[in-house]
Order: sequence, then C-alpha cells, then structure tokens
Amino acid sequence: MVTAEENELLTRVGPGTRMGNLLRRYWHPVAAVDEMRDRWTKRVRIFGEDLVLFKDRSGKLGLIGEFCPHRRASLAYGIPQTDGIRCPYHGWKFDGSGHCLEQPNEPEGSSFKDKITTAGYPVEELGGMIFAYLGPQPAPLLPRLDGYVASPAIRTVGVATIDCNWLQIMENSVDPIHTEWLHGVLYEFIKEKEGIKVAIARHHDRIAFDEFDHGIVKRRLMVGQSEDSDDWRVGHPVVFPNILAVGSGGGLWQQYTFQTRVPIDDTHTLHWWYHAYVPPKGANIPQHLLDRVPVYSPPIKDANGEYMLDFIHVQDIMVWETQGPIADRSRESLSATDRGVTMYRKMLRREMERSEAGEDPMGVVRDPMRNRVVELPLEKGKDMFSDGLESIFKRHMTAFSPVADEILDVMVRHRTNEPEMVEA
Amino acid sequence: MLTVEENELLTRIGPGTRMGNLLRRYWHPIGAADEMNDRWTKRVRLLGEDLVLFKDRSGRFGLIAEQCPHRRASLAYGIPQADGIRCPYHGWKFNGAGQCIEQPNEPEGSSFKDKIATAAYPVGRLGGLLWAYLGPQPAPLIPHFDGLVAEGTIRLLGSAVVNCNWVQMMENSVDTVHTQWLHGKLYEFIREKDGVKVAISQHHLKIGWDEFEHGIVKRRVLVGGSEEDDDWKIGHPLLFPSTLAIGNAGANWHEYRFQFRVPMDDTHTLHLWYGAFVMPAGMTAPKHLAERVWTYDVPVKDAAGNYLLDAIYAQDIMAWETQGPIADRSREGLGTTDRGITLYRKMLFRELEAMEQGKDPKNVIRDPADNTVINLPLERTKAHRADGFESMFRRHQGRYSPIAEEIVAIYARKELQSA
Repeated sequence: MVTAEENELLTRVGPGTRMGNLLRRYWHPVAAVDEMRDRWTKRVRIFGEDLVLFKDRSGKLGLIGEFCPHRRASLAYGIPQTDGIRCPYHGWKFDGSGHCLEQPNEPEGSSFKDKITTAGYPVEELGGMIFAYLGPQPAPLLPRLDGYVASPAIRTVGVATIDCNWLQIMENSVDPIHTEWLHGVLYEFIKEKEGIKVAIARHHDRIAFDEFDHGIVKRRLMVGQSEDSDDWRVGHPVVFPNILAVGSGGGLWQQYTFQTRVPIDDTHTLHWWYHAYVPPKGANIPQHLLDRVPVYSPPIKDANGEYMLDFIHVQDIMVWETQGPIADRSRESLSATDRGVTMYRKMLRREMERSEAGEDPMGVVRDPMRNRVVELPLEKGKDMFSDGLESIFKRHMTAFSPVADEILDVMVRHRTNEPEMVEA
Repeated sequence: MLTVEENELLTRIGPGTRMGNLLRRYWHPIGAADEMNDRWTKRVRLLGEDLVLFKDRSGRFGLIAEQCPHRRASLAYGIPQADGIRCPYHGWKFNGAGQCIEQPNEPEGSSFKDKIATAAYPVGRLGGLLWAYLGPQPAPLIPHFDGLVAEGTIRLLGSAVVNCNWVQMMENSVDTVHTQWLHGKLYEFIREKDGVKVAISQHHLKIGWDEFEHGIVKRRVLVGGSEEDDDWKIGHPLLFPSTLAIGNAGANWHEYRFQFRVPMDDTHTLHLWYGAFVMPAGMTAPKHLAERVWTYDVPVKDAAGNYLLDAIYAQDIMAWETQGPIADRSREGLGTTDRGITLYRKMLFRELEAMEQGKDPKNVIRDPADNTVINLPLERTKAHRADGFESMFRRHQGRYSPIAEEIVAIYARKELQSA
C-alpha cells in the first residue's frame, strides 16, 4: 500500500511531473516503420503531449508539436515538403527540429519566422520501429536490445491503446504468480466445457527477483520443476523502466518478445508487443518476411463490448483496465508474493531521485562500445510454453499477425523431422 | 422550489450521504434470478458502490465489492468456486460475506487472509427477483407486495439505465397531470399524420393524494369520469421510497405492475419494469411462460440517438433525462398541480429525520405477521386503458419482451376487456 500522494507521484507522467521527467530520459517506440509506409503523418500522444510524426519528401522523419504555433491547426493534416512539413491552414513550413522555415504570406524580408519554433524531438529507427527521445540533450544512445538487432529474424509487432495508467501494466510484469491464475486457471475455467488444460496453470513453488544492470530479473519455480530449469536459473527481465522482455527458445530457434508500455497520458498507454523469431538454421525463409515488420492491432473486445478472455493479452488487459484508470494503491493489500511490485516501485523512486541529482538513471546507455548488442537474459525451454510454440502463439495476440501462418510454417510446421522443443 | 442545499440533501445518495443512508434501509431489486442461469457474475452499481453479484458452484448468490482488495482487479471476471469466488488475477478466494478464505500463493500457515475482508451485502429472493440490502443489520424483511407473491403468474422484467438522478423519476410518479400531456398530447402530436387519438390525453378535472401505510395513493378524475371510478375511489400508489405500483384489471383477470427505480449513483438510475399477469379465471398459464421471469433490455433511443417517443416509457425517460443529471430544484416553479411532489419531498425529509432519531422509516417491515401478503390499492378499470389492452401494451415497454405476442394473445381477447 502507498499513500494517495505517493500514488500520484508514481503514476502521473504529464509535462512537469517528476515521473514524466524520469521517463523522458529514455527512448520510446512511437510508431512502426510499417505504419509510415503509405502515409505521411501519424498522431503521437506521449507523456500528455500531442505530437505529430511526419515523413518529409526526402524520407526523413520528424516529430514535432501537433498544433501549429500560428493558429493551432493540426499538422497531422500537413503537406509534406522535401525538408519539412507545411501547416494545412496557412502554409507555414517546419523542419523536424521544430523550426519555422517559411511563412509564405508574410512580407518579403520578414524575420518573423526566425522567432517561431515548436516542440521538436529526435527520432531514430531500429528493428522496424521508430523511437523518440523527449528528454534533455544530449540524448543517450538508443539501446540496441538483442531482439531488435538479431539476424536473420522474422519480426512482427502488435499495438493497442490500453485505457489505464502505465504503472499497473508494468507492475503486472514483476508479478510472476499472476500467470498461474489469469492465464492458467481463468483460461481453464473459460474453456471448462471443452476440458482444456494448459501448462501455464501450474502452481508456483517459489518466486524470486534480482536487480541487474538493466532492471529486474524475475524467476519462478513451478511445482515439479528443478532449480536447473531456465525459469529459475536464467529468468526473464523487466528492462527498466517500461519493457517486459520474455523470450523463449528451443535448441535450434529463438523468440524475442518485448512488451513496451509507452505512456500516452496518465490514463492511457500505448502497448507494443514486438516479436522477433530467429528460425532454425537452414530454414527456408520467404524474403518478404525479412524485408518488412508488419504491424497489426489485435482485437480486445468482441461485438458486445466484452473482453475476449480466451486470449492471453486480453486477460492481461482486462485486469489492467479493471484496476481503474489509475489504480488506487492506497486501497490495495500487498502480500508476500508482491515483493517484485514493491521492489520495482522503490527502483522508480530511487532512479527518479538519481536523475534529479544529475546522474543518468538505470539503463541509460551512452558508450557505443556497450551498445553493439544489449543481450538480455533469455530462457529456453520455458515451462509455460511447454504446450508448444503453436499453442501459445495461437492463445496470444500473435494469432492476429498478418504473417502468423507463415511464421508458424517456418518455425514449426516445416520441421517434421525435428522435435519442436529441444531443451537447451 | 428548494434551496441548493436542500436539493443536494434530497438527491445525493453515495456512501456517507444522509439520503443514501435512508435508502440503505430498504431492499432494492438488482435483477432477475433467471438472468444468472447462464452466467456466474453480474456487475451491480448500487448507491454509488461498485459491486459484483456472483453465483458460486453450489448455486448460492453473493454480493461483494467488485474490486479485489489485493491489487484491485475486477471480480466480475472471477472464477466461481464451491464456496465463493476467486479473483482472476491471483486466485484469492472470497465468500459471500466478503471474507478472504484462501490466498493460494501465500506461504503455508500464513494468517494474512484472515485480515482481509471486502464489502459484502446480503442477497434475497422474492418474486423471481434478486434483492440487495446495503443498510445496517439486522436487515428488515423484503416486503411481500401482492404482485411479487401472486401464484402462477406470467412475469416480465424489463430494464434500462436512465441517465439521471432517481428523485426526478420518483417525482414523476406523484405528478398526476403529466400523463395527459407527455403520454397524451405529445403522443398525438407525434402521430398527427396518422390522426391517432388516445384516451390518456383526456383533461384532468380533479387530482388528489393521500398518505397511507406504504406511501402515497394518487387519484384522478378525467373529463367524462366521476369520483365513483376506480381512478378516484381506489387510485394507485407510490411505494415509499422508490417504487411506483400501477396495476390494471379486466373482466376476470388482473395485472400487477411495479416500476422500481434503483439508484446506481447520483446521476444514474436502474429502471426495472416488473409485470406479473394473473391468468384469467379458469385458465392456467402455459408452463413455458410461467416457469421463469422473462427479462429484456428496454431500448430508449433509436439508431440515430433520438428518444423513441412513440412509447410511453421513452416519453417519461425523455422528460427525466432532459431535466438534467440532477434537476436544479432551486430554479423550478412549482404550481398547484405539484402538491404531490411537495408531499413526497416532505415525506423523504421526515422519514430521514425519523431514521436519524433511531426509528425505522416508513415501509420498513420486520414482523413476518405483517408480511404474509401486502395487498395494495389496485384500480380495476382505468380511464387511461380505455383504448384496450393491446393498444396500451404496444405503446409501452412490454412490447420488447420476448413473449409480447403470447401476452397479447392471452389478454387482448374481447371477452376479457371490461371489468
């Protein structure tokens, strides 16, 4: 339990808030490259700021304030130029750094444009995603997390807007036992008539949390598992401050998953489910799967507005959203299994204070030598995936990827002569 | 007219409010038991509290706070157990009394669960409905009003969420003359091109109100009627504090109707239309019609978002909602026909004070001897119904019930029409 004031401090991320300032020290994915393929602009709301991501005629991306500083019309309907974007209302032109380059109806020789700037933030591409940095300069490096740079890999990314604060989503990621219930016992209840049982419903014997360079590693031991299992020995991390990395692998292939939670504002969160599949050696991979990272929006509710609870991602979203727009932590009752939640909250407080004292907070990377690949703990042979890749794949949002079948073909179905899951 | 402060006192019913405390002394219907045949949980927002009604695997109902006291996930998605419900997030189990009875991932021997309890309220059953009581113990009895305990009836329960405070809906029920306009002249205007005329638009000659044991009886004489008519001699009651009872009868049958206004919060009210049709003498209700309460959602607006103003209930809802989320009674201008409204407001304030002095407020029943059957005033022949059963039935919300045509087939027959 925290006080109402502490809850405010932990959750509010708008301009000028302390937590917002901490989160601005990191690069955040704001769009998929694929989304900008057939369009020139995309609205981006992040940390309570309304921005527009645009592509100019030279193919360069920019991220600036959505509303033109002239009469505040939306640049989301702007006209792309070779070196920037024009406001659709009166043609003022801005570049990606937010400078006004042209005001076509001002008197010749006017220097008014030199006095006009709007917010402008750097953007970078990596692994088919577009990242933005909204913090103070100099910007740190965009961390080259393993799943973004692994090659060859088939990638796909799902995206949804979750109607709640970012923190309750992150707390879910340092709460190992919820899987047994929310993704296990609840799922089996929903599928009761079909008598379906899933590995993920197995009871937890032990859980543990360890801090490491980039965040928190969480570990679990299910009933009947040995301490030699990757679930315990390796674990998987929350990458500070807002990513869950939960991969898996057989002996011959690997899967990287990043769930990145980007605060839109205090009560909405952009959720990315990024998957990179490294196929077994010698697999025949259609070229188009390597050329493009297709983006998709997995469904959350059915036609009646009810959560589609037979999917893992929806089970999570149901819980996050029903905790309320901002969960009232002054009315919670934390128990012994919630140590990870407490540890994560303390880490947020500590890193906030550290950054306020002028240091780089945890996970900020500035040394290029340390950024060739940031390798994260990766479990192979996870117990909860022991129903097979195809089973978990189809119970998750991945089922809705436009390349779902092709991924399963490459990863599973064309390898009839090999066991699907090989313990590493 | 009320002061702003009086209006606040009258209308606010959330936890800790005085009027909320008064309403918590009564049982409120929260739906039909049959709604739970194919489901395990139902969200219930009542008197400003978010609750979940659940059925355990033994078939018992419980009503507890919606959000789990652990991490505040919703128990509306809980997993039913033999003796309670588990939170879908971490499996904590609660019984119907709100006590946490299991925390499956806590260390063995931990007594943490014993310290965890959540809000819980008793659930009762009567007339095929489920009732909740949110007040102090001991709980009174659920009143056995005639239509709720009549045997062998065909029962309907329509429901809609009305986007306004409950008091303006109740005031409508002691506002006799509105029927002539809202359900009469307005309807005739809407149907002008069809040249439709209805009995309910007849002008009021006389109106009257009398307090009785269970609330207020209201009476009317329309042009062409007399004080010998049931409309005046018998009248029909508002049941204190939040129900309208308005029955009807034909030659050898009758129909009980209750309109329950269940306050969800200050600006939303669950409206339940309960109908119990007694079979005409000599007939038995077909088994399939009598074995359950037929529930249905009552639509308020059309696809374009306009009120369905050709229906009586939607005319009412239009008036209630357009008075505002909470009608501003400091800016009203009450006339002589509004005496019933003043009477009702005074009754609410009076009963509130009686309760605060430690007495049971009006219509709280504790003695089973007083609760065998409570027979309410029932007008047999109503001037409003002079157009016949079918005309009125099809102008009201019952037209959306899944057995509407079967009801019409039984009760619209000519030989049943005059009392």
